[in-house]
Amino acid sequence: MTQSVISNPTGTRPSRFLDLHALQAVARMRFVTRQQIEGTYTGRHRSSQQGGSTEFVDYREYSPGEDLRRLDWKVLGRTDRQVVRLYQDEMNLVCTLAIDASNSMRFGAHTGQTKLEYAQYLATGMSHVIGRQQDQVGLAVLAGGLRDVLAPGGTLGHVFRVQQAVENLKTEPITDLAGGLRELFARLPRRGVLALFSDFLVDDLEKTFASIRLFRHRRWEVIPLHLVHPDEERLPDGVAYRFEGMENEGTVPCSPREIRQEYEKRFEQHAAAVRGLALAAGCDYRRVSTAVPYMQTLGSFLVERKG
Amino acid sequence: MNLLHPWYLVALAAGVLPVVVHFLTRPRPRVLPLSTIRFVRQAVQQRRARHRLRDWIVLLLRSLAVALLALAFARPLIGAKHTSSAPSGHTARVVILDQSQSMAAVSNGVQAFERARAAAASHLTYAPGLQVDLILAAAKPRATFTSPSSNFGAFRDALASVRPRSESLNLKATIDLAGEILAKAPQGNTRELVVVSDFQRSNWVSADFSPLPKDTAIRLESVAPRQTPANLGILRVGAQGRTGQGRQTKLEVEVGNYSGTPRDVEVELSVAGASYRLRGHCSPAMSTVLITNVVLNGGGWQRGEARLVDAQDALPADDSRSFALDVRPPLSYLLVTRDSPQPHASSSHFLELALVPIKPRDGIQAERVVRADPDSIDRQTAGSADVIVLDHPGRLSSETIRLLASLLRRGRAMLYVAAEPIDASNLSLLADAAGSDLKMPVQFTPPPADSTRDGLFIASHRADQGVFAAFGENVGADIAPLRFGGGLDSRRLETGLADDILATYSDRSACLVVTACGAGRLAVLNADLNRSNLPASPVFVPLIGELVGRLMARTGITDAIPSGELAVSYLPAEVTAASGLKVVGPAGNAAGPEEFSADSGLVVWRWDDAGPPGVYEVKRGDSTVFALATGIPPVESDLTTIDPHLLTGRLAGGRTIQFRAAGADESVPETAWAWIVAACVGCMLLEIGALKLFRT
Repeated sequence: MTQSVISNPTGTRPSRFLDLHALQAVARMRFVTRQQIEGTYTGRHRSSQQGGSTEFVDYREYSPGEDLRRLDWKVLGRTDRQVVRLYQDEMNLVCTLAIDASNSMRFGAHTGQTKLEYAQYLATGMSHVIGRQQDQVGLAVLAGGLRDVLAPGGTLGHVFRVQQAVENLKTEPITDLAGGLRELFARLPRRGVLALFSDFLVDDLEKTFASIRLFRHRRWEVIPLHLVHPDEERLPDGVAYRFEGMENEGTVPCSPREIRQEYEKRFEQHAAAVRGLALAAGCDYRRVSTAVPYMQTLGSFLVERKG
Repeated sequence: MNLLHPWYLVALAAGVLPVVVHFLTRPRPRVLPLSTIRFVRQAVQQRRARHRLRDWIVLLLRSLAVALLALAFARPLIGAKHTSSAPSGHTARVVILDQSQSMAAVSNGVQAFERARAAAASHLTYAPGLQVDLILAAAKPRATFTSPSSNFGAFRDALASVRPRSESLNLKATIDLAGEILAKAPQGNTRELVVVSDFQRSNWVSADFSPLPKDTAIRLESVAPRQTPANLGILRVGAQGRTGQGRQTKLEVEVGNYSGTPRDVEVELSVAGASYRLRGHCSPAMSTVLITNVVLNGGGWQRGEARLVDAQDALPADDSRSFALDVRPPLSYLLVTRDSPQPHASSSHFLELALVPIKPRDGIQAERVVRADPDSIDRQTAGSADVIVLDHPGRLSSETIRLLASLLRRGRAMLYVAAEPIDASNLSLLADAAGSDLKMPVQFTPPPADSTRDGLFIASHRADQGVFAAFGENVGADIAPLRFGGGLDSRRLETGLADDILATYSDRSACLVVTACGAGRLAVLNADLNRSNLPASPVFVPLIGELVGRLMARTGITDAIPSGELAVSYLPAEVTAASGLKVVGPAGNAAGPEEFSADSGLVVWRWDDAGPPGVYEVKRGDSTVFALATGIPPVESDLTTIDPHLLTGRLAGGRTIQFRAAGADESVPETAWAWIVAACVGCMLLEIGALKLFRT
């Protein structure tokens, strides 16, 4: 198996969330979209353009795992370069990774990994996969609105910048997911794929999904990745706790034992509401437990979408 | 509420222990940032109200359980004001010990009085600040001291020697005395009255505690057994009518059966050296009169006794009763008349023959008629006659009138044959002298001077009365031929009884009147026998005989004087002087007070508190001139006790009265603290239930 060596064109160290060794497990997997996309370059994705033109357009580097029949053997023989011929009827994936950077994403530190760190790992891995298949990946950081955005790009340097930005994420106590998504929608003219990493612990789910529906109306593929920590699904054991809100929500002393049933009921109601709204909006909803290793999540995600 | 062990209440402080423990042992909460705190808050708010309620309920139940446990140990005394044998502070206490005869009843082998003695002793023991007095209560209450005292030794001695008396309980006098003694207690002292009695219904049904000071705490301790014991008793013994020597006399014995079952009784009657057996069947809760005929040949005062044979009841003292009988010689008549004593056809002689129709044989004591002139009657002569007959007495002197009136009131029988106009005046004066004791149904008046009373016949008569009833159904035919002359007119007096008019003439004047006067009886035959055909009629002798019999019949029976009560007795008329009289008791020794006084020529014997049961004789020399029997008051035979609720309720007069059986535990019955402990356990069970209800 040929190992792809990613060189860092910026000269900085790779992101600590980039575990190339672990990502070897998905080396042969592709991030495949289920919808027709529109991209700058032709790629692996079914185009929305009708007609099926075969006109030669350009060459691009051969990615290991691609169909060998697409390899331009003449160029290989002449130049010893592994390239494939691009035709008009093949387009690029444009994927934007939107990460919820509210304080609630920092939950889980007591278990060694927060939801945010999990999202960082997952997003970094996803960006690596997308960059490797020479699609475009961008980044949006959502906190009290749209805080940072990196428009999708396909170059290695851009992918590195995305990964660095993911690594340097800082959270904010205020969450305005809906507002951030609306801003993002306005900033991205071309449709593509929006992978939203969030715990969806917002005040108004309806408002948030109204913003998501804006993307859907423009025929974006939206993949809400609902990050859930096990200690959110089930309160920790113990007689007395004083829970502190992570977004200026005050404290609540209680005995988890006494409210466990009621809490779990309410949490599942919330999760069901998120799923229901996501499915109703035509999104590809995924509930991701941070107890599951991120590579397992990424692998199963890519496998399911292989098509 | 008083507490036997008040210091246990310190344990009440333990009631706050659960609270302290709750707060001290609350686990320190672990601080944890939580992203989903909104759901926690919602869940907490949902359950907060319920859990807060649960926590308060559990805390309250736990504290209550601890408090109840402490209270159970403290042994509270709940209920009416408690008079303990251990008073606090200065206390004046009067203890009344019932000494009446019913207290001698035996139940389960123990006499009620012995229980009472022990109960009274418990209230007469020394305690700091306590002063007491003891009242022995019977017919007359007797207090050991006139005011509360701390001489407990004297009370101890008094209690040791006291016995039940053959008397009834004079409750009013006893309460009055207790009130006087308690009123002498200094202000500020606690006043207590303790009554130890069997609370016999007949004595206590009219209880009145109002003479006691208002702040007196009253405690009644009953020594009566739970179930009223069965008792038989001889309530009364006496003779019906005049007891004549040699003549048949009916003796009556009244037996009371105070039990729930009928009893066959046998009474042994002893009198004049002879014994008689009476048998009968007594229904439950009733009295039965047994009658026997006896012939007493001995004259004078005879002592006797009636005794129940094999009674086997609770109160042996009332199984016998003494009695005294005055066995009178054959009737003697005193014929007061101005007629010549020479036998001739005159009304007085007709009467004499009718009174004693059969001449007695020589040597045989028999009835006799003594003729006397009205001007020569003396007290002794008149007093010795059983029946005084007046016929044509002429004008009677005022002294004679007074003598006759007093004899009438004293129980003599008198037959007045009103023949002449002067008899109207005599009868009027006699009525005045007798006063309210004589209520004549008619007033006799002289007939008008221009009228003559002749040929009168009996127009109406009382056939149901003994005088005419003896003639049977033919009485009408027997009296129809009778014609009367002479006599007096009469007019009805509403102050007298119409029933006393036994016959009426055809001119509506009274023919025959029989009326009571004190203890005696007066009959008036309104006719001149010289002018009537009655003496020639075959009905004359039986009519006079029946009339005498009616005059001699007694409506009451001589009852024994209740022991301990006031006895006032008029000695027989033949006892004319008080000097030289002495009283001899049942044992033959001197007994009773010799308080003899004269009253209108009669001797009166006053005895303030009649002695124990027996026959007491008044003697002059060796001769018994009078005798009376004393006995246990009949009410003492009924041992039924009064309902305690009556005493503590209606009869309490608004006071708080404590009633209990003597010897019962002074503190709250066992069930009281047991209930408190049960309540404590209940609280703990409720706590478990609450926790399960709230699912924790």
